Amino acid sequence: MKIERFLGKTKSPKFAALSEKFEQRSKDLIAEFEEKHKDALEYLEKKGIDADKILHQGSRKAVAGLAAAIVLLSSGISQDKDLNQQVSVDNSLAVNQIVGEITSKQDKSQALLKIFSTTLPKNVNHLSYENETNLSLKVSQTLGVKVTTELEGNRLNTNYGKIGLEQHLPRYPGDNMQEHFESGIASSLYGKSGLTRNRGAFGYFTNSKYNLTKEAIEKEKYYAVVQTFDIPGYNSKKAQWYKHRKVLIINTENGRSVVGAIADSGPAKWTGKSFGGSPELMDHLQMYRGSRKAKVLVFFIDESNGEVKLGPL
Amino acid sequence: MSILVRHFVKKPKIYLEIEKLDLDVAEKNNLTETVTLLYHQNLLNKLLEYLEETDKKIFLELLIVGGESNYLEFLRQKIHNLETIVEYAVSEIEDKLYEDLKLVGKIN
Repeated sequence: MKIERFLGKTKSPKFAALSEKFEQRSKDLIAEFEEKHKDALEYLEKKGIDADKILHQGSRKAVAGLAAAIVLLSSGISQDKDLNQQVSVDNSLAVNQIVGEITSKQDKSQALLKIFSTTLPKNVNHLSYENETNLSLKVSQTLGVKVTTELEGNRLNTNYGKIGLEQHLPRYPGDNMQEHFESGIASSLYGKSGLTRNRGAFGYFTNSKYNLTKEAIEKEKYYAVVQTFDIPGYNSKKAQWYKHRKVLIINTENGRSVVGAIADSGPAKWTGKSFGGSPELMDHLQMYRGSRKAKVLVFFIDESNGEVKLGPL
Repeated sequence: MSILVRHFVKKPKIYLEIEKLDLDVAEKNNLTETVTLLYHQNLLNKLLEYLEETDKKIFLELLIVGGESNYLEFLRQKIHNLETIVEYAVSEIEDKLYEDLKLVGKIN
């Protein structure tokens, strides 16, 4: 009856059936929103925004009874001047601060790309010592994280080259795809990459699932692969140094950077690639889907001035 | 139209399917509007799911008063795999809507 009223005439059976199904979809989505983001809703209410009103205001312009809800958080609220003013006053400081931070990060990416345009060789994989030193310095200055191509006497076989998408690594004996992800979305997004049959070259991240820490989860999530077998003088003692060593990986075509932990050895030389990355790491570099032709730069992170967090920088 | 949908989806695929249905213009317009809403709701749910509690609040505030480019850039900064999440959210709702359309398609 609601739909008939909206249209002002008799509805067709097909329209009625579709409307009913879509209405149910919307109700389900709103219920999901209310369940998962309860704190955010409460926060908005505390700010003086009637969350319930927001969640149901949209029904006026759509099918009556269809709780159009969340759309108003973008399109609907902008029509409510009083609400806008109130929120605007309350949050102008926070928003300005965020806008400042965003601008700063955008500037950093742009600055990196500018540096690369003048310092990176176009057709060769190898960087000269002078190039390496120059890049380390400029990247450190730009990102505010101390990076280097040589740390405590250790050097990778190369710092510049192609990177391949790796599978997930088992974090403990018995780790499997059903238990590997923190959320259903993460499973849907990254599950298709699969899990390697064997642990990484540096072993498991922990000895059992009961001892799995946030740190171990993050290490696997953002793990990097380097060709340790091609490093001159590499041996078991060196392996301890390289195990979970933090590296900064930068996509030289878009300036996106991520801090990873070395957790495996590879890829094979014949692949033409010099590095590997976990699905999550590659996704941040925008190399999880589509083209992986862009080269990356890889630096050791020098944490002598303080710890650097794994993940997107 | 929702700015999330306008920015991330442009023209939802389901619009074309609705256009093919044997319905009058008002009915099609109504369904199109509803479908846009569903895209938006699913996008919002999935994006918020990937934000920390504090960032959820900031994002909602930015959505209201921060200006389009700022909240989008905020999302890019906070959700490292934004494109993948958006693709997932769009594909998820489209699968459901295709399912609905398929079932209803059998009604004369």
